Parts: sequence; structure tokens; C-alpha cells
Amino acid sequence: MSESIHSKPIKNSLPKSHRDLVEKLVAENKSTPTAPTVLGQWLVWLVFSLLAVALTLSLIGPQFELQERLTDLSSGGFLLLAFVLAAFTARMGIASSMPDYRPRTAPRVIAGILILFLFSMPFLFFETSALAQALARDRADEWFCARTMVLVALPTWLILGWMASRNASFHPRWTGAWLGVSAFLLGAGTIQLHCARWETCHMLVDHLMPMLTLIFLPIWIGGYWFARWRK
Amino acid sequence: MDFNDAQWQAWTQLMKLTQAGDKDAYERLLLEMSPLIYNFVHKRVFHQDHVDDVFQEVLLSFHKAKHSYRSDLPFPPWFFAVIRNAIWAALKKNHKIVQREVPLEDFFDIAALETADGGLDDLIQQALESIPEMNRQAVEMLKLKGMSVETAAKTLGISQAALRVRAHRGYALLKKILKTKVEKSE
Repeated sequence: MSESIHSKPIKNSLPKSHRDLVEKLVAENKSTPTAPTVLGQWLVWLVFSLLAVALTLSLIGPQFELQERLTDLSSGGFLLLAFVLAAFTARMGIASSMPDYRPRTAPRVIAGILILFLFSMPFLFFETSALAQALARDRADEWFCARTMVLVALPTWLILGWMASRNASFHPRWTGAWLGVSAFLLGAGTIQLHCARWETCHMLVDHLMPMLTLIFLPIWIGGYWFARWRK
Repeated sequence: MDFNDAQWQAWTQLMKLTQAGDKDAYERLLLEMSPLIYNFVHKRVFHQDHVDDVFQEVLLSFHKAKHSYRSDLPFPPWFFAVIRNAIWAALKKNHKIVQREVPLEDFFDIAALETADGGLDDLIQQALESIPEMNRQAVEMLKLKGMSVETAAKTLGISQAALRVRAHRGYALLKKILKTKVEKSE
């Protein structure tokens, strides 16, 4: 393309440091593939997540009464909310990793309220048990549910993080938070498909608490990982 | 320059060519967009000393984020959203640097406590001599000789960003040394 009549006067009017920068950037320019759309990346996450859930269930098996649980309003609602929230937060995480993302309060508030509701569901709808008794059982089975939940969360978080790190996030900590919440919720939903203990203390301690106690990690790592493109 | 529809269409074309690796198109795009970006930055940055720095940061961010533009979507919304985000990110970064910066006046306050042991000048001189040469040069040029960042960077033959980093490390070292001296004397 021929040089515009505007280009030369502008170049000459720029301070030397700016001209040098433009020259440096131009010299660095090369053909690069365009980043996939948010929807495209989210679909990759969806396929990967379905595979991760399917693989986990094929290894540890679904709970015996899964069909009844799925049709029950409270337990079915809990599972649905966990997976829908995982999908929503994954979508938000990917969107927030795009450089043209405009942070809005509404999705954060909606996600916050729904997560709060998810955490309150064990108190509202499920069998209450003594904390000491629940902890004793958890210790006896070596925190199987918490470990499995984290094991499911980790690869899904890595795949989301890998995709987000190839975008260009101006809000790396928020991206880290969204992706971390998504991965933990997917893990919580998956383990709940296997675990037949629908008890308040067990669900809170083994299925939901890892998210609360470890969420600082994806936020902290995200602050570095998703900001690397600007270094 | 009038930023009308025709101009945006031309820039959209240039952006597509840029993504395909066309260096001439990219140069033209950067040069033509520079006044617009500069004005956009100028209106949003309160401290005029920071405008040039933020402008450069914004250009760098635009360069690194350009792969995310999808040519099937309109260019202006993407462009302005990226520039706006880049300005905020650059301002945040600048704010952190300014917060970490230790004004030379603070050194005088600290050093004033030590006047009985050899005087203000001696104390600062000793502290300056004990930091690495590249940091000392940066501090001397910016704070003692009162040179601008641009002039000092040119004199040393380094980028402005590199000069700032050297100076900030120098301030941090000076602060540490002077504080230690004060604590020892107390």
C-alpha cells in the first residue's frame, strides 16, 4: 500500500523517542494468527470439561442413586447451579482476558450472589450432620473428595489459563479469579456426581471449601501469568 | 486530522494488512493513529509529565494486543476499548512507580539528623558513592543536576524506561543506606 500523504508529516512531527518506538514496533511486526473468539475458546473449554468429567466418572464411578438425585429439585438444582456457574465463570474469564474487555459490575454481582446461594444450599436443603463426625469420616477416607475435586479442577484451570494467556488481559487478577472459580466449581460438581454423601458438613468441607481456601492461588498466579504479555 | 468513516475504513484495511505481516501498512497505521492516541492519552492523564510515557506504553500494548482484533468486527470499538484499557494499565503502573519513588527531600530529612557526624552533604555523598555506578549516575542526573528524563536518557544512551528503573533502584538503595546510618546513630 502506498504511503499516505499524512504519514510523512506526522512522522517528522513526532518526538524522536516516539519515532524510534514506531520503527522498533514496525520492525517487530510479523504475520500472526488471529486469536480465536471468546465463544470458540469457551467451546474448547466445554469439550475439555465434558471429557474431564466423563473421564473422572469412568474412573471413580457415579453415585448409585444419581438418577434420583438429578430429578430431585434440591440436589439436581445444586448440580445444575454448580455446572452452570462453572460455564458462566469460564466464559467471563475468557472474555476478561481479551484486551477490549470492559469490566462490568453486573456479572460480578450476579456470579457473587449465585456462588453465595450455592454455598448456602447445603444448609438449606440437605441433611445436617455433626462436624466432628463428618471430619472423622473424611480423615478415614483420606479426604478423597477434596483431593479428587482439586485433581479435576487443576487440568481444566490449566487449559483455561493456557487459552487466556494467549489473549491479552488487562485485568489479569480478575481473569485469574474467574478461571479459578470456574475450575473449582467444575471440580465440585464432578465430585458431587460421584459422592453420595449429601450432608451439609461434608459438602461444605470436602466439596466447596477447597475453592474458598485455595482461590487466592489462581488470583495470585493470574496476576503474573496473564500479565506476562505486557512485559 | 479528520477521523471520519473513510479514515476508519482505511485503518481497518491497514489493520488487516498489519495482521498479515505488512510492515509498511503497520508503519502507516501507527503514524496515522499516533495523533489520535496521543490526544486520547493527553485528555485522560492528569500529570503532563506522564503523557509521553503513557503514550509509549499504550503503543506497546496496542502492538502486543493486535493479534486479538478480528477483522470481521468493526475496528473503532475494539481500538478504543484497547486504548482505554491500556491507558488505565499504564497509569496504574506509573502510579506504582511514583508510590515507590523516594523524593530526595526525604533523604535530607533523614540526613539532617546526622549533621553532627559530618554534615548533610557528606552523608549523602557517602551514600551515593556506595551504590552501583549506573544507579548513581541516574540519581545524580535526575535529582542533583535537575535534568529531564529524556535528556538524561539521551546522555546515557539508554531508553527512558531503563533510566527510570536505574533511578528507582538507586533511590531504594539510598533510602536503605541512609536509614541504616540513622538507626546506628540512634
